[in-house]
Amino acid sequence: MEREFRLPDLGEGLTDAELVRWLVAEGDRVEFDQPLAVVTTAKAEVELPSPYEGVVTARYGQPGEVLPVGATLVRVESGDGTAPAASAAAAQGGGSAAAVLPGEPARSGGADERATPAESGPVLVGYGTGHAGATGRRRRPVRPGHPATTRRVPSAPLARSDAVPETTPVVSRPAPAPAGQGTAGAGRRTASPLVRRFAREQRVDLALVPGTGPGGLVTRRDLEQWLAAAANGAEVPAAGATGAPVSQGAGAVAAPAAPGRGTGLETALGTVPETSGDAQVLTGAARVMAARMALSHREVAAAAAWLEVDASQLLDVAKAWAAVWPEEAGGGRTARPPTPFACLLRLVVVALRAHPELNAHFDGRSLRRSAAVHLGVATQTDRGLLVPVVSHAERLDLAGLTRATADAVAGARAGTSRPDELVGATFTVSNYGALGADGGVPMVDPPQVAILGVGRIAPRPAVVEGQLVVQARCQLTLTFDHRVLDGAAAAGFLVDLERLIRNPVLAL
Amino acid sequence: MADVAVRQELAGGSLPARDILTLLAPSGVRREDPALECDLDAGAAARLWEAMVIGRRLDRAAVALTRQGELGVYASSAGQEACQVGPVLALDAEDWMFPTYRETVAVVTRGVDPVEALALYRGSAHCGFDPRAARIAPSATPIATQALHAVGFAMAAARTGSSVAALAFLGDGATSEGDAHEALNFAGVFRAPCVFFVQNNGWAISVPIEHQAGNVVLAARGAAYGIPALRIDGNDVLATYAATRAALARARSGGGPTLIEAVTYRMEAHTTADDPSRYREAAVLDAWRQRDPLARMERYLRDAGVLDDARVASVTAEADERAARLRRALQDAAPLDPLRLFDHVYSAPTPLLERQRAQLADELSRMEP
Repeated sequence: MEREFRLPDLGEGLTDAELVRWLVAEGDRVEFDQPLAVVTTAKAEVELPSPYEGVVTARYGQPGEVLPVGATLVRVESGDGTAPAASAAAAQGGGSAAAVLPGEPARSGGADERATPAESGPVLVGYGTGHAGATGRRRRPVRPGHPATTRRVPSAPLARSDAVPETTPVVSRPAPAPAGQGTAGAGRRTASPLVRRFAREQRVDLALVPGTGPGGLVTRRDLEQWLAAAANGAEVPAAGATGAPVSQGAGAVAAPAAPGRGTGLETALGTVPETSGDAQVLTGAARVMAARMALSHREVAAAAAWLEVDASQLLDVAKAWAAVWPEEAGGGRTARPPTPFACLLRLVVVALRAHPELNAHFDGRSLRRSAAVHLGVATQTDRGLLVPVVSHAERLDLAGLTRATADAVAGARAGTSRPDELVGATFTVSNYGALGADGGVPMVDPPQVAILGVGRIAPRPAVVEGQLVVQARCQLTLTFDHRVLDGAAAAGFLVDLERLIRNPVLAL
Repeated sequence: MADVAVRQELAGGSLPARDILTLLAPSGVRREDPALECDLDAGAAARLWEAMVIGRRLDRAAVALTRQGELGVYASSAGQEACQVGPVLALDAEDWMFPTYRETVAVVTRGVDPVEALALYRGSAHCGFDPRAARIAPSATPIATQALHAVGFAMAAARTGSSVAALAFLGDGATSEGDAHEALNFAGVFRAPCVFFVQNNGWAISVPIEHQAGNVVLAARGAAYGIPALRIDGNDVLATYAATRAALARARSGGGPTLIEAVTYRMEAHTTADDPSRYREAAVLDAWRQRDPLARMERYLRDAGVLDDARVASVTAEADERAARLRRALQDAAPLDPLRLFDHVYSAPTPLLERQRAQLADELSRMEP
């Protein structure tokens, strides 16, 4: 018989999950617990194992789509005819959730109603790890695409003593309210302690943030969207005023979404929607970038130093490697010879050894230097800016570093990086030169304390021993967190790095 | 005897058990340690291995069932099987155990049906088994409360002259809680016949042990309470069994409590609602995979000649069958009656509860198709 598997609540109170990719196709034969799909929730990316064995007769949803809990994921024809009709627990919205609130439509089973899961109640064990990029941890779901959704509520209140007015009608807004309409009753806003702390850390006055939760409750997502809008340069109301951070229409996205490094012009232009009617809610890497850049801008006392260097030796070294490469490749070490950028990374690692204060984490109170160099490499991908990490770069020789960097960048571009391969950098390099820029001032990615920006290598005039000559030159910018580093540290690093670039033999 | 070594350490006033006692090296080679005697021969020890194989399979099934919506959440004990199995099989039939929410495998090892053991996680009952019949207290979700229950139980047992001992499970995170301090202190003062089995798995959700404890040797706390303590390899099931067995024997004979710190590692997320990749590097797991409790036991038993491919296959098949039975039972379970929500709040329902119950019943009657 044919049975359906519906998306369960995967994290004690989640209301939706984003489909990342399918692991089976229609017509595939699956076994019990065989992974069907990868989904990502506010809490974790997980594989969904099949509760049935049989043949997949239908699958629903495209990668990137956000599916509500209870939505049918797949149908499986088991061909046995002995088992019951449907996955009972999943149909109820998962585990403990089902029985609690009778007023919820979870039991009625209409297609649209299934989009609204039952109240999950308090978290049973632990609290998960909701951080930046959280989606959907709301008590009340918002159905995308509906301009405003008025929930039906039980005719008789269930628990009058409940502090949160669960049973009063709630109007949910999928997008922040248009400016002006916004939130009556400025001043103190209701929010959970977690959200209040998040607001404090981000130095945001919660009175400015429109709440979409019950009774105007400001949810974490509200705050994140507000921050993302702020980071994107959208108009944010000044203190005292209330309203939506993203004004409706084209104006909301006219400001380039490029506060940071390496965001190409076409990418910024690409975020302008064709029609002017809809604000675009950031998702995925774009939202993470917005939150991280906003954090950097608020927390880090950013200062920069720069130096233009003669990069001829980098080109020569890369050329020398390329010339001998066929034999070396026979040894099976790496697929491609070191690029000038890889040579530069190797010299950066060497220079960091002499300047360990730059290879560190600072959490606002304590500074922790790292013996290991975990090198972040800012990478432009189809999904936006990602920073894959080459871990233990200090243990790699030039060939190893070349391969590790290529692997990390390829993984980020292909979307196959594991989450732990995208975090933990102790120092980051942004090669915006590859995008054609001469120079720039990259943003420090906290808790790191410095980032090196690398400009385009191009023939430029230079004065050598009183003579004007043409050299392959490159501008290096070091942005550093002035809370813990000073100009002497930054300049010292750049000068040492320049010495190494001019004479890479010193790195041997 | 463990007792002697620990007492010597206590007498010297030094921190006890800096060294981790191991009876079975990660390579599967059997060791002797004068501080820890194990009376099991390889043939008898095979039972420990079987219980670990079945426990790991059921644990994996529970994670999958959570992803399939049959359970609301689950706390895996993957990698900690030696701590789940050894202490439980060291219990006498009359003893009681006081588990936390991570002890599903321990509860099953004591003989409880997995469906009943997982009722808490399905949300179908606060405790799915009969605590008196199983001699297991309901799994504690609040952190460290079960330690107080165990000490209270043990003190009561001692007063009534019974020779029953209590086994309290704790995690390293629980040792940061006030309840753990109170329990250990009471046990130390009153010589309660209670064994504190601390699984130091390195993590309290996302907080590493070094951010919880100024001295990460949790066994060191025994000295402060006047409780003999020892630190053992938590991935060595012979050590977890032997240490608990000796401690229970001492408790029953009036020797008072023991603190056992079993050093292990949480290989999975805190619960299925957690993503450990946000706070720890996956590379750490590789080192702990080399210390896997099942692999080393299998090697030891094969070398001892009590385990061969046929027996491995039959135990694996038995484990798979139990996992399949669990899945079928949960998939086929009838929906719960929501009104049961009110059944065990008070022994005599309050008027408010009665009113709420009537409201819910009314709602339900109008919602049924």
